[in-house]
Amino acid sequence: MELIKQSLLVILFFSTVTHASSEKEIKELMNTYLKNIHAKDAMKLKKITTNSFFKSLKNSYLNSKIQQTKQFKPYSFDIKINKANLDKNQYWVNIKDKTKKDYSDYWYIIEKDIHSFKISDMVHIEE
Amino acid sequence: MFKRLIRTFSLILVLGLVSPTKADYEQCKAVLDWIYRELTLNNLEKSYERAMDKMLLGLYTVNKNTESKNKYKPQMAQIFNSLKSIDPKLETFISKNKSINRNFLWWRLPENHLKIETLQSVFKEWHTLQTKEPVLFKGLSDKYLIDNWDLFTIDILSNLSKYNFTNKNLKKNLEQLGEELKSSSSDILKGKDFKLKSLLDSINSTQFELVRALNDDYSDILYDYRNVCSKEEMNIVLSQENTVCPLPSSNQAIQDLGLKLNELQKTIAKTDLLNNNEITINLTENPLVPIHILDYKVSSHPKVTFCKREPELMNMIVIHHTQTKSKATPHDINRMHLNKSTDNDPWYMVGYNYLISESFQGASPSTPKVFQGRPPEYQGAHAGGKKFKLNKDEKEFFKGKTITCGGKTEFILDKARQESGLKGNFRSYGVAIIGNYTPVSFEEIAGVATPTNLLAGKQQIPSQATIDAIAKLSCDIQNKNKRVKTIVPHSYFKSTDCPGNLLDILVQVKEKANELGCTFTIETKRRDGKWN
Repeated sequence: MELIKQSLLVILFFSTVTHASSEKEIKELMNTYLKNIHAKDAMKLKKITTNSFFKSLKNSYLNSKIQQTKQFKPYSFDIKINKANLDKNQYWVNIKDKTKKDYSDYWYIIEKDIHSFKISDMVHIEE
Repeated sequence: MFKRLIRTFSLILVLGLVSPTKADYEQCKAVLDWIYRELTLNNLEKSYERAMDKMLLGLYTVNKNTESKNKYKPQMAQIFNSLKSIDPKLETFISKNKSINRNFLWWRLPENHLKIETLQSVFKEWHTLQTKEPVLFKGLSDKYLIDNWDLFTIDILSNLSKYNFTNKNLKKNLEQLGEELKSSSSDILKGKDFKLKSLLDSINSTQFELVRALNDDYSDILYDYRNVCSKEEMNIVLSQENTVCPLPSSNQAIQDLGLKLNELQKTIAKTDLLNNNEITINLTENPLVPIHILDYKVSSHPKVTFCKREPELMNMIVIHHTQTKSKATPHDINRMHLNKSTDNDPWYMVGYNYLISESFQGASPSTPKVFQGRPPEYQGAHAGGKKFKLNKDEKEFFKGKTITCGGKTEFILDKARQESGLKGNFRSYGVAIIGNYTPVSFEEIAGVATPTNLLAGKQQIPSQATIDAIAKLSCDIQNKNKRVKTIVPHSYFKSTDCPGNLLDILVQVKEKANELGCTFTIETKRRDGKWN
């Protein structure tokens, strides 16, 4: 009985640690994303996004003449992370500027593979 | 019907003002017999026909909704297995016949095939299935769902069947009596010139068998009617030199009867059983645009709920775009919405009521197709966000009206009060065009202008056929529900890019709808806390 209790505690501990670790990794991923969007660094963006997302990014933002006018402020954003309801390795992430009150309706979809997290899509859904 | 009842009571009242006689007693009894027959036996037949019509229509709908799988869902199979014991040919009939002739019904069942207990269990199963698997019944109007009245009808039938209900002589006798009572009813109600003796003979000739059949199991319903003018009671009243039939103010039994009849009348009015007995089965209506029904995955989350609303509540159509690739399918959108669900906010299924695709199932920009999303009788999840307080007119309109959420029916005004307003979803149908119609847009986060529209480089323009499809769908919605007179973009309810440049085509939608004989108002200005 005691053994079972200890095992459960270990599982609980690891799941908490894993979740915290995922959140940390996802926040880091979004920070890297914003940094490289600011810098328009295609190579680095390619590493943190899926092929289809990168293709969309390339076809739109990266090929545009849009220039960033402000300075990037690392980690200066709030983040909301939800685990997808059906797809086990998917996370729904919403970020907002710390100065803003509400999150927008734009959600990033983050896929987790064995090695890392990657941004796979951006969707617009009612909050 | 109720007017006639009131007149009947007036007659009783009039009778009460003259000296009581034996004939008056008989007359009173005849009138009350007529009342309970009108409210029971005649209606039982009507109710039976109604229940069977609904069952048949339900079977047709579920079969249609599951036919793409080439096999029935387990629940459907279970129902069919039960029904097979009533009529072995039924499954084949339902599967093969796509247009059901209302005349072909279940008339043959009572005499030849009816196993009433099985039928009773089938109706119960069917009723449960409607609650558990509403998706199976997609496209079936609420009024055709099996309700408590139908279950009650079948229960009564079940009880009657124990008393030789299938006895043709008794049935014929009852029918004859019913006809006679009906034809005499106007005279009875006028209190003059009717052949009381003939009527009483007719009543008496069937009374014995009828009472034997009804006495025990039917007594709950008939007790009050039968005993209002019972001999015992009459004797008491007569000995007090009072009126023939006790007046409502002086007798508890007739007061109870009045209450019962009122209650019954309300139930009947609610079910529209008498005034609109004919159930219109309109399976071959010709919509301007066909709506394709899909079999969506729905959430099995224990906390998930959805709200069912009456069509009379609806008054507008909200236009969205999905802001996805145009290749995305309605199933993709559904999955996306289910994935977005959280434990605190689980979504039942796709939030839009209709989706228009230019690519799915053979659709193209020149031949778009309309797919049903969340059934239109369910409140969608597409224009939430800020809640709007009700104005005076709305408060008046919603007075006494209800909505059913998670199986719980509540008054809309209470709901609005508790939730500090209502969402845009509440009174609208959500129509989404699959694709990305947003111009280039950005959102500033941590000093970075972050793109919110990654398909901006390939921004879509809606085809003329898509504009026409929106107009046709809007017209079809209005043709079914004349209260729907307004089309708004999603941005009417909140600050959002949605529906992108579809905003610019709403006037064209209105004009096209006008050509099709529908009239819409377009509201593009933000509502900002006020209903229009």
